[in-house]
Amino acid sequence: MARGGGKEKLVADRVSTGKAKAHRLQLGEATDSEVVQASLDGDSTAFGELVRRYDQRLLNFVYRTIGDRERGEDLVQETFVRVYRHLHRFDQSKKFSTWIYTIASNLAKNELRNRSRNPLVLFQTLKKNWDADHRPLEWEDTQYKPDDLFRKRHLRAQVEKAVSQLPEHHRVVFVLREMEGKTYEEIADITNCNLGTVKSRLNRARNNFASIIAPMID
Amino acid sequence: MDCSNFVIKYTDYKDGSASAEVVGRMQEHLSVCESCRRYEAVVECGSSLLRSLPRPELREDFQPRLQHRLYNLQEKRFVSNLPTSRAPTFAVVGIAMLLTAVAWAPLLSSRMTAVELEPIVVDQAPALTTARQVGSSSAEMVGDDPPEELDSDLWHDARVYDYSPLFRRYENQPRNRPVGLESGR
Repeated sequence: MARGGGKEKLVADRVSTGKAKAHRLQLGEATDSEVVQASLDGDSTAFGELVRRYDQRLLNFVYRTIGDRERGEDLVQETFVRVYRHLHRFDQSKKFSTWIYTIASNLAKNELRNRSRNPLVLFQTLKKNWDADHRPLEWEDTQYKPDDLFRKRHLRAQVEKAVSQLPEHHRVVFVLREMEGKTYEEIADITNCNLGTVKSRLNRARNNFASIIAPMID
Repeated sequence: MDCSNFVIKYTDYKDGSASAEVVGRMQEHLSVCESCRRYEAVVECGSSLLRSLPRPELREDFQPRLQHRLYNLQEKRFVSNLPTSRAPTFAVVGIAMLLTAVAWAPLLSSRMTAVELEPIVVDQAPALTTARQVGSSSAEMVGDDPPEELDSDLWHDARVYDYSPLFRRYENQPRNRPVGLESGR
């Protein structure tokens, strides 16, 4: 009797596991807005699907923006918690990815702002940002190419460093465009800027970036 | 088009948002300007290097930590959405009232009930002189050797009513215990 019950339970478990797997697959093929709607309808696995889709991407974006991986992970957690709390307020006529990136971007900005409360850091940041915005765009190739800089790993490290050297408001736009592949309109929504500002910042960020890495590239 | 114009319009050119006319002029400039060709090559190379950077990995405990936080959030939301969300307040008030009632219960229950005793009809005034005289002197009362007449006449011709020590048991039916003086009635 007990054996029979155990068998039935096993079969029932397998069936339910199979159903859950099929459901996950179905969610995996759905669009963001469909998954959001499923989550709002009470599907407990739907939010997990959203996390799976965005956790790595958000970590990459936040990490490149603030330059601290562990803190970046905390901010990504906070992003998901906020999304979970306010999902019912999300305007489903907009793109979910833009919304979640906006939340992450705001958290990253707050983090940078909190760090820069030191008056000296604040002054240096303001000066750096002002210089970056008002320096005439120019291109000067120093043609300096030490042999060891051609090693790929070193080059990557230098590229990472170059990104971190960009002023904050340029860096956010640059990372969103170059690493996350966002359109100008999406970047404008995420950063709450107009298109002209986005283009201007992106152009300056590229120019700045090229100036930093040029000596390492032949 | 000169080099500074090329750099200014480069983002539009690279991202495909420049007009056909601007694209034509930029390509024309690129064909003759070594410096701008170098600029384009550096930006392209930098971008591809940037995209090839390894993405940071999430720690293993990322998912469990997030699940834990979401679970707590869900619990809080569930409790706050309950229709009886004021239940804890009511429970505290109820418990306080219950404790008050329990604390006051002995006082309320020990209140003595008023007992109406039958009137006592006395034919003549009891001769309590000795007892009163003795009782009036506290010094003699507390003395080591009370006078003999006190012992013998203490209860003489006096009606003493008392209640049983277990009078509580007979609270509803109080009983007089006559002390051998019934014949006088």
